Amino acid sequence: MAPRSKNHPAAATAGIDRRAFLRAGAASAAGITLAPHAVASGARWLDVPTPNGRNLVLVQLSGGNDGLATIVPHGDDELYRVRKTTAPRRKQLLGIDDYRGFHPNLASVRSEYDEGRVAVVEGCGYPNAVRSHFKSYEVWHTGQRAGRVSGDGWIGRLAANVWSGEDEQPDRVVHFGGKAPYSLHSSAHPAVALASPTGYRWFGDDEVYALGGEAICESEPDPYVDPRHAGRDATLAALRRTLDDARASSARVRRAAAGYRTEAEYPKSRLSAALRDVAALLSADVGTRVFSVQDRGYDTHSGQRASHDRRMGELDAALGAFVADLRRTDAGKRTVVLVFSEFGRRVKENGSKGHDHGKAGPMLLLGAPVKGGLYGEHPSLTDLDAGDLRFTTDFRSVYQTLVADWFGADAEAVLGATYPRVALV
Amino acid sequence: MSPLRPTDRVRSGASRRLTASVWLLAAPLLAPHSTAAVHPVHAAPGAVTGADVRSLADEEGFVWDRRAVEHLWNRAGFGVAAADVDRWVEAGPEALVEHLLAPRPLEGQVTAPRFEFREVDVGTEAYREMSRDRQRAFRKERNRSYRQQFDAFRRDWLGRMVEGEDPLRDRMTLFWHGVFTSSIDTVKHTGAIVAQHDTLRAGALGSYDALLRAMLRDPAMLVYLDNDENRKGKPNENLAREVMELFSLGEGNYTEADVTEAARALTGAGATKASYGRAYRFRPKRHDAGEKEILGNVGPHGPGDLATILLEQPQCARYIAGRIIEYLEGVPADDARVEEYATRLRETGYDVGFLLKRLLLDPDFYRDEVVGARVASPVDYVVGTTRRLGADVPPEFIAQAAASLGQDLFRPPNVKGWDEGLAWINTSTFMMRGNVAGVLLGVVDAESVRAEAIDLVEEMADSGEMEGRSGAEMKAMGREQLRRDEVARLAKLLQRVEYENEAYLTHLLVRTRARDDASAVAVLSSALLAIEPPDETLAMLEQRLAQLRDDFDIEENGLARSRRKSERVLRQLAHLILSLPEAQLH
Repeated sequence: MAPRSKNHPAAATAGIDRRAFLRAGAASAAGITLAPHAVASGARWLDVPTPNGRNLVLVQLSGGNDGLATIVPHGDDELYRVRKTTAPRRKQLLGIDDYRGFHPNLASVRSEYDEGRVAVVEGCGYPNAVRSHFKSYEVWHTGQRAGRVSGDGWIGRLAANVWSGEDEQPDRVVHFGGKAPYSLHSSAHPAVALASPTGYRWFGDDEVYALGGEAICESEPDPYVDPRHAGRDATLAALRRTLDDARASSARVRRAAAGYRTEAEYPKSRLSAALRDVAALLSADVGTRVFSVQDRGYDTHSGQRASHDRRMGELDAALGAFVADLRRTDAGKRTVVLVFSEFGRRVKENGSKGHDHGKAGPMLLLGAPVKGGLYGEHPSLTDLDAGDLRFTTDFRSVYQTLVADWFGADAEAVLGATYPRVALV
Repeated sequence: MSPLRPTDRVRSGASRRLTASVWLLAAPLLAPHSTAAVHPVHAAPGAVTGADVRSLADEEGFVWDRRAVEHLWNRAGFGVAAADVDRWVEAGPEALVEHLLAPRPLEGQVTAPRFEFREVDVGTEAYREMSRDRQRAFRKERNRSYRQQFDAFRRDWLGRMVEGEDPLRDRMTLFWHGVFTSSIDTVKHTGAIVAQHDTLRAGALGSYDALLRAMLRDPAMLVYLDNDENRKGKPNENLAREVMELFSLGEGNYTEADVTEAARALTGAGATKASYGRAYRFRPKRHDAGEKEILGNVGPHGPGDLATILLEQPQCARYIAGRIIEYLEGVPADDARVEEYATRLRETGYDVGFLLKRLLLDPDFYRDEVVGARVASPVDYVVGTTRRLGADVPPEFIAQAAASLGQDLFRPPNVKGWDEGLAWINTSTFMMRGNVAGVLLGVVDAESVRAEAIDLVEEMADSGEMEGRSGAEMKAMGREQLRRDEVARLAKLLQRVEYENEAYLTHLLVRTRARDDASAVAVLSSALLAIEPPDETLAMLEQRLAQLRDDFDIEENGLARSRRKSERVLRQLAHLILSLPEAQLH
């Protein structure tokens, strides 16, 4: 899949070996696949070297962001017929073309788009979509329709695939905020997650703290002499690993955050604070490759206009500052930002000036390495799936692109299947 | 809602219910696989058994010992003080379960002075007559008072958990708060949140049937899930979907058409305005009285009919039984066991007290896979630690600490409530648990956080990471560190209330005559941990204690001789113990 319209010239992508991707792509086309085990212990997919220092930032809009109020298809009168109170006015939109425009509050995203650094993949979804927040997130987080019963999250599997053996490092993947999303889940490593980098430490002697980690198992008694406690020991082992991971990452993360200086002006919001911390870690080059942040408040069942407008404004301000900040550093220039949500919302507005849970919605990718433009196809507003947009691009095509093209990893091992690529990096 | 008294109902033996003794006789047959998984770990079963009732303690391979007693208290309550364990070993499992389920008066349990509405509120005539400035001042004052009352209410609930006067009710109220959850941030009305809590508390050990029906009339819930806005011809599906997905059936057990139809059945059910106290209000004009088909049932269903239809689904009992068992055991129950409990749940008219009695006396509840294998929730960790220490910790601290560990009561992360188990743990919350313990023990204070912040900046300056920065800039960085620090905030909270932890660990040693390192470690870890630690942990702690004695110049077997020094040593050791992976389990 190539950019469909208004293909912007790709921004500077210095230091990225594009030929390597071509080869990787060719191998994929020829149907050459390797079992996950073959790529273990640091070996890369075929002879493609892992592109050095490439990063990914996941921005999750929790609650089901209304795609039709993000990239607004103002060219279709149906929109204003079924969305009398919730559709942003035509003349306020930040036009993309005569069919669609950005939400009025997405000014920074729009100007990034104009610079060719934003890819909009329209109509993203998956077959047999489910309207439950939690089930749908499981699908997005694992890349599997079965959800978490299928195993680790897609980023968890990516990390195991790409940064194994000598490259293993507990903080290859870091979530900023409260609980890490399931996409980061890995049976090998509990998630490294932090609320704020400053408090990311144990107050006490570090060497003493280490005593409680896996080192303790050196004095583990003989299981044949002293049978162990089956249930408890499994959890205990996971907790001991967490302690070790925490120790290993604590100083690195704190120093990176404490020492960070930037001219970029971040607005005051939780999302902004988290993205600023991401920028700090990126700039300090501590080895983290995937970052995750979340923004909440997109479950707009009632009075959508005011609350969604506010969300869009805050999102835009945070993303605007962040991508401007990323442009300042080399690491930032090697960073792709992916914005997604668990589903879009119902096409027609409900009785409370809001929208109930829906299905397809757009994904946004930002950053210098991104080939800006529109991808995929905007879903029809009239040919609906039980009142919802029919998806036109499987969201896993975007994952495929990020896994295979961006990280040079074996997408089949990570996603359990191969999907058509979207040529956006 | 009047309090339901589960144990009375069981005793009164309504015709379709089995009496407790009949059930106990039947238990081994109902759970054929139950005894196999239980391995005696320690000798000396000490249970007293009745002649006519077959006791749990008679189950082959089941041992009622200190470990079982602690397990029951950890899961059905919020932990037990070490000094009380032997008493319950003596009394036996039936006596303890009876104690936990014993009806207690609810009158004293209202967790805050009932929220009083001021005669004037936003939207009333008196309010409209005010000048703009007075309105603004009024709103400010009202919001302040809402907040204050909310804080007091939340504090009181945590205080109640620590006191442990009605532990199982508090445990199950917490469970239901995670199922029928609502957030103060969305509802924005302390009175409605308190009322929802009281409903859940009153019904926590009673009938799920009544709870489900009550929640479909609960103002906080109706506001939280937008049903207040759900009206004929303009349905809002939010509540309808979550009722099926999270409150009764579980995802995959209904169709999208069922959601749409259920939303129609719920039209018109809302709440009065905040200025009128947020009471339940059904508006017939907004209700869609037309025919609906929900899960195969056709009729002009309303909210009550929807509840009836859901309660008639065999899946509903499976879902609720499964959730309760998984919550208390920490692992999902297998299908056969869920089916067994679900059948009984339906037969007893969804009597949760009956289910609990059965579960807490089920040998499977005490199997190896379950005991000591669940990650304690933040509330469990902080309340449990407080109880085990026997410390008089301000409930405000407990509320804040649990919030900073990821469990902010009445502010669930989303409509699904909180995920339990290992989901509580990440590198950050893991370290934070140790810090909370450090603050509680007085080992970590605001000063140590400040010193850390300065150290970090100085270290970075030494290693050249601060090149080109002025001293003032570096100072500002240190201050910024301190300002953002959660641990500093918690420490300052204790400082503000002039808290001093007077639960002296040295007393514990003196009382138990523990002199040598091994017995000191045994006493301390048994007092502080909810589980029995593995041997390697005890060995490590002994080494650490020896090292600490050295540092403080205390000779071997000399602990407790110099009380001041001993206390410092023991608190440092306790800080390590409570920071260990072992301390996160219960």
